[in-house]
Amino acid sequence: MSKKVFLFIGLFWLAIFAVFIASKESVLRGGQEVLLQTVPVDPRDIFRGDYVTLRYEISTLDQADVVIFNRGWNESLGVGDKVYVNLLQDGEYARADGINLEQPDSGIFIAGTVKSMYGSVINVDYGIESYFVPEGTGHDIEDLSGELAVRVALSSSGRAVIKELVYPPSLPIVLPPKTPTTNSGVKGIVLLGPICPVMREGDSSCDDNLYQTTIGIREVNSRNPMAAITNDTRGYFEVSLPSGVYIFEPVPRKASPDSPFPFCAEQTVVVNEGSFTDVVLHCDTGIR
Amino acid sequence: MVDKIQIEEWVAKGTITSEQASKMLVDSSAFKKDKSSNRFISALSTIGAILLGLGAILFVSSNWDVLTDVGKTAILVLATLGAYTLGYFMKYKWQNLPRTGGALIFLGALLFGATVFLLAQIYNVNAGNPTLVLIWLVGVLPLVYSLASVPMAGLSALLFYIWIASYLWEHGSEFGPDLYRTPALYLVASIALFGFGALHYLSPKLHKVARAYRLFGLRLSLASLFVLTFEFFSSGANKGWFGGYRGEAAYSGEFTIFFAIFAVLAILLSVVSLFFNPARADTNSFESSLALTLAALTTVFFFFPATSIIYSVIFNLALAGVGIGTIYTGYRREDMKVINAGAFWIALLILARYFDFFWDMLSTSVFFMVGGAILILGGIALERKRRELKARFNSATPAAPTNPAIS
Repeated sequence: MSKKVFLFIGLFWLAIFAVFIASKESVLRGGQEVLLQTVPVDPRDIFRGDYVTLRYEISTLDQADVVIFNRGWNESLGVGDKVYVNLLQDGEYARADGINLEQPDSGIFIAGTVKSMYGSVINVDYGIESYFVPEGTGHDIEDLSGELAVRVALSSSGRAVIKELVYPPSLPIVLPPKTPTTNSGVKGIVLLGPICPVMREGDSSCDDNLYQTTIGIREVNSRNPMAAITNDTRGYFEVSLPSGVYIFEPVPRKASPDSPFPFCAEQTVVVNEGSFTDVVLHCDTGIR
Repeated sequence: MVDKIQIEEWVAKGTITSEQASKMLVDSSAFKKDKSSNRFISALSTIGAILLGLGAILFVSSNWDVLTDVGKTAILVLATLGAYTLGYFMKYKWQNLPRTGGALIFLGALLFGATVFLLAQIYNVNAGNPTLVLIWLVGVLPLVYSLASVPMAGLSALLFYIWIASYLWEHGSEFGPDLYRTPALYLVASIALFGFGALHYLSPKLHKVARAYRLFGLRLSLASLFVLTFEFFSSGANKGWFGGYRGEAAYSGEFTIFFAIFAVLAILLSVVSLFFNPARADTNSFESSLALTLAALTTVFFFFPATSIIYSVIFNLALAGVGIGTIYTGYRREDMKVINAGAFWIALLILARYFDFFWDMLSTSVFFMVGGAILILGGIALERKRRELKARFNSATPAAPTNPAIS
């Protein structure tokens, strides 16, 4: 191998790395930002190895509900077709507002490929369906499924790159450390009650239920949440935190966004050096 | 290198004296020992490089969050260029540790792939994206041609097959029942690689690469053909076993195009090999005709499927024929690797058909006893024949094998 060939291969490799990074960074830095809502995914698919599979509201589109532009009178969408989905800002989220078969000249749009079709419903992949997580932390995100949103950057040609996972929309996901970095923190449970309209003494069937949900954590003097954790299926949670005063606020899973119940009260928790503080967080079902 | 029998023959004929014979025997023995030691060092260094490369890939997959993305990228890029540069200097500049240097360059190629996957992870490129493997392959190919080394050729061939697999995985939902035609796709791709390997004989520098590609292609062709001998793959898909699939040629246009590209390449490269004989080998016509027939048969199978077991029968006969043909070629070329490849798949074919035909006919105890006896007797026969051939090749070869083609 001559010196010229040696240098050529080294520079060729560096060029590949540089093009890879530049193509992604150009979108992340200069692209249009939108927030896309994820929808619950079949739990068999959501956690695969060290990444979670993300599905979006705009992943499944019914041709009966959205306008398809630039389509010939006898032209139909097929598997493998490239599409550009127009996005409309609806509150904090961007939602689908039509499908283009050709790249639009203006507006916010995301490029994707039709992966499958069932009747008039099409499934579209946008290249942002995988989110890689540190080893062993996939379940933390899996537990948040259905309440997550993803902030993506869009290039002028509609190419999407994931910027961050957010929950709720204004709160970047901070995964709790896998191994405790401090010897202090908080452990406890979340209860949901009342369960029965009328409580009879000695009737244990009406005891409050253990409730699995997401808990936002912030320091007492801060308005910005520092972490979001999810308790396990038994309602139990444990999080390592340095000594200080924190606000714990369970975020209930509501049937509809307008529903006042369940309602979860925030709770102030004091963490002392060298110990774990026990807490019981309560959520109200509204049953009276 | 000359061997003992030849030297004794020369002494008997008076071509050389006894003193010269003794000196030649000592030189020959020292050369063999040196060659064996060098092979051992190369193998050890390459295994070390593979382990380090695997470690780097696992480091990427653990997505260790203690380091920042920039930190992780910097470590891997520096490690990639560092291993590559150090290897180059050891092998070519200083020439003090050429084998270790070669292994370090190989490690550089593995780390290059690990870096590509790290970047893909940082930017959340969809899992299973086939383009990543293709980028790795593109990065490795310049090394294949500049170094002309067997491990590098092996790595590129492996990446080629992984790329096909990841492409199928990525488009799985679109391909649907066509995925059951994967063995046919791998068969034509392997024949194409076999033919592509032959072209490398045009350059004397690339003979090792040619042999590596042809052996890879041959082994994968035999493996794919073996899978197609099962009715499940050769006619099951056409019987609607996999949901809504009838006796139609293809379900997905993209899969058909993907298959057609490799089928055309396999046929073209076999024809080129047949008429131009880049290997300048005696057995070229036989090998190329066999490859061409197999490529044509697989193409007919893909585009004109049948619901009967006809293709299953044809592929069984084809594997038996190709297996015997491979043994014949290996025998002609005095190449144990080729003979072993043919013998292995023929033995496996016999075993598989024995299970198919006699499982229901014989009682379980008799079935296993007869099967066991066949295996032991077959093993004895194969071992004896193998030893006999090896001894014959060693004694008959006046010099290191120079015959190209598959050997």
